[in-house]
Amino acid sequence: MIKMIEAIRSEIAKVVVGQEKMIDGLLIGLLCEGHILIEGIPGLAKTTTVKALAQTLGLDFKRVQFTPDLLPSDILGAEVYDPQNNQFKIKKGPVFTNLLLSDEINRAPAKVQSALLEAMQERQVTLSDESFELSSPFLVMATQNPIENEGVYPLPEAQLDRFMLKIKVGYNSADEELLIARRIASKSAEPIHAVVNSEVLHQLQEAVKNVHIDEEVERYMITLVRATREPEAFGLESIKRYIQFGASPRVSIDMFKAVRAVAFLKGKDFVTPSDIASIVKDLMRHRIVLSYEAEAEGIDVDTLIEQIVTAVPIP
Amino acid sequence: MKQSLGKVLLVCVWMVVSVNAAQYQWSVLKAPKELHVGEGAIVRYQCLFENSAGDYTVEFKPKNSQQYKASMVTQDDHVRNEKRILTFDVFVTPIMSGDITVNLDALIRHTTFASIEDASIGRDNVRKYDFNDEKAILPSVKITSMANTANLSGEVTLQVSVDKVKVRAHEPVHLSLYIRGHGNLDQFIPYDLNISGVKDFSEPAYKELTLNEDGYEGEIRQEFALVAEKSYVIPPFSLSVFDTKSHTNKVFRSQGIAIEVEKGYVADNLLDAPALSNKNAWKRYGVYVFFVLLGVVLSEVARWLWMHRPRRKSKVFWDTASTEKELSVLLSLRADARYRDVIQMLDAGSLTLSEAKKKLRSFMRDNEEKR
Repeated sequence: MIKMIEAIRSEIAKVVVGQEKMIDGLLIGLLCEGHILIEGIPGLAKTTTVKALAQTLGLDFKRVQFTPDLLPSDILGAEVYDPQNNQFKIKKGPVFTNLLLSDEINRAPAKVQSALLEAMQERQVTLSDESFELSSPFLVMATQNPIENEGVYPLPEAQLDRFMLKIKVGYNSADEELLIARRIASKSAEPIHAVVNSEVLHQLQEAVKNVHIDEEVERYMITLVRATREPEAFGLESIKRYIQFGASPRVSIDMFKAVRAVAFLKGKDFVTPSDIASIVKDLMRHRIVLSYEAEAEGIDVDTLIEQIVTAVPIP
Repeated sequence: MKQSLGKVLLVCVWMVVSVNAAQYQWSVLKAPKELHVGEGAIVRYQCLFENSAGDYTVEFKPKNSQQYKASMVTQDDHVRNEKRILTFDVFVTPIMSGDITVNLDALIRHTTFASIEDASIGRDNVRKYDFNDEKAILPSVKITSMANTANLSGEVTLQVSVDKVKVRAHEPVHLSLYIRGHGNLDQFIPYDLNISGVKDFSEPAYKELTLNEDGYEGEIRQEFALVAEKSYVIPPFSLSVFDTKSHTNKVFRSQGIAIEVEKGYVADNLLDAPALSNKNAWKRYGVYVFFVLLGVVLSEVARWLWMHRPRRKSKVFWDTASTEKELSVLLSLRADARYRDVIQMLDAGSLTLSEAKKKLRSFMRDNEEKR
C-alpha cells in the first residue's frame, strides 16, 4: 500500500518541488475524505499541486475560480429551460466531480461560499426540489490568499469548521527554489500519469481505517480538544482570555481520522502521540476562535496550540 | 451800564475763586538757635491746609545759600481731621559764622478744575494736568552760627591699617583708611599721600553715606597700594573734628607705620622653568609609548576574556522534554522534515532521550557551521 503512496508522491514531484507538508496534507484529506483549505501567498504552487494530485489519481477534477460576481448556481448548477422539449431540465454545476478545486475561495461573497456547505457536509446537492448525491470520493480543496484585505470575504466559521485541515504553505528552501527556476526555464516538466484509480483509492482509505489507535491515545486526543475549551484545567489560565471559542466536536472526529492517515503515510499501523502532534495545528488552527485581546496583542493561534499540546500530559 | 456789568462779573469770578481756593499756613515746628559752622541740625516746617486739599501739590526743594547748606531729609503728608498736613525735615548746616537766616520757599500747585474735568472725561487734545502755581515764602529761621576751625563736624572715628609691614622690593603694601560716624562727612576731602621714594596707586575715596537727622552717616574708605624699593614709613594721618556731642574740637591722629622692604626677586626666579632637555623628552615619549602599548595589551586581554566568558547554553525548544515521548511530540509540533528521522527513531524506541538530544545538538551545530 505504501508503494502506492510513494507512486503518487513521485508523480506530483514531477511538477511540484518540495512542499512536502502540503502534499502530505492533501493525501491525508484524500485518504480520510476530508476537505482541505490551503492558505499561502501567491506563487507557492497551491493550485499546481492540487491539479497534479487530481491527475495522479485519475479522478474527475473540476476547478472553479472564485470571483466577486460568482453565483451559487455557477457552482451547484441550475434548472434551465429546454426549448426543444418545452421542459425545464437540471444542468449540473462543477460541484459534481471527485476533486473540486475552489481557487481563491475568499474572493467570492458569503452566499457562494455557503452554497458549498451542503455539498461539503452531506455530499449531496439540492437543485429545485430534487437532491443529487455527489460522486465518491468527493473532496473540496480550497485555496486562499491571506495577505489581501481588500475585496475578500473571510470564510464563515461554520464553513471553516467543515474543512478537515487548514494547511499553511510556506516558502521553499533556497535549493528547492533554484530547482524550480531551472525547471521552469528549461520547460522540462514531465507529463503526469494517473497511478491510482478510484478502486485503489478506496482500498487505501479502507487500509487507513484499520490503523490502530490505543485507548489512551484516543483519550489523549479528546483531552487535547477539550483543553482548547478549558485551558485553565491544564494550568493554562494565562491563555484562557485569548480563546473565545475552543475546537468543536468535529475536530475530535476529524482528528481520529487524520492521525490514522498520518501514521499510515509513515508506514505504521498504529498511532503515536507524535503523529497527533504533527497534524494537530492543521486540524485546529481554523477552528479555534480567538478573542479580541489575542487579536490586539498579536497572539498567534499556532502558538496557543503549541502551549496546549505541551501542557497536556502525554500517555 | 457796560461798566457796571463788568464789575459784577469780576466780583462773581473773585467769589468763585475765593470759595474754591484752599487756605494754608506754613510754620516752623523745630529749629536750632545756635550751631557751629559745619554742625548740622534739623529744621522742621509744617504746611497746614484748612481742608483735605486733594487738588494741591506742594513742591519743596530746599536750596543752598552762601550762609548755609540745606538738604531735605524726610517729608510727611497726611490728612488728619479732614485737614491736610505736610511736614518737612530739612537738614541745615551753616557754612559761615555769624547770624544767618534761613529763607526757603516752596511751590504750591493747584490743579485746575478744567484739567481735572479733561482727565475725567478722557479728552486727549488738551494738556492732561494744568496748575495754578503760587510761590509760598516759608517763615524765616534765625540761627547764630559760631566759628569752627575743624575740617569736619560730628561724631567720627579714624582707622588706618596695612596688610603687611614686611615686603620684597616692588611688592605692594595695601594701606586702608576708614572714617566712620555721622556729621558733615560729605565735606571730607580725601588725603593725598606723598612719601619720598614710594610710588602710590590710589583709588578715589569711596563714600557710603546716607542722610538722616544726624547728618551724613556711614563710612568713607580710601585705599592705597604702595610700592617701593627701600624701606619707608607711612606718615601719621590726622583728622580735626568738631565733636557735636561734647561741643569740643578733637584731633584724631594715627600712628606712623614703618614698612620694611627687603631685596626683590632676581630675574631668574621670576622666569618659567627652562625647557626639558632632549634626554628627558625621549624618556617622556618612552613613557607615552609604554602606556599606549599597555592599553592595547589590556584591551586585547579584556577582549579575549569577553570572548571566552562562561556562557549559559542557549535554550532550545526541545530542552524542556523529559521523556522520549515528550521530545517526539515537541519535534512533531514543529512539522519540520529535518526532525523526521529522530521522531521515527524515538517512536520506534531505538533512541533514548539523551541520545536524541545529543543528535539534535550535533545537527544544530552542523547547521550553524553550514551557515
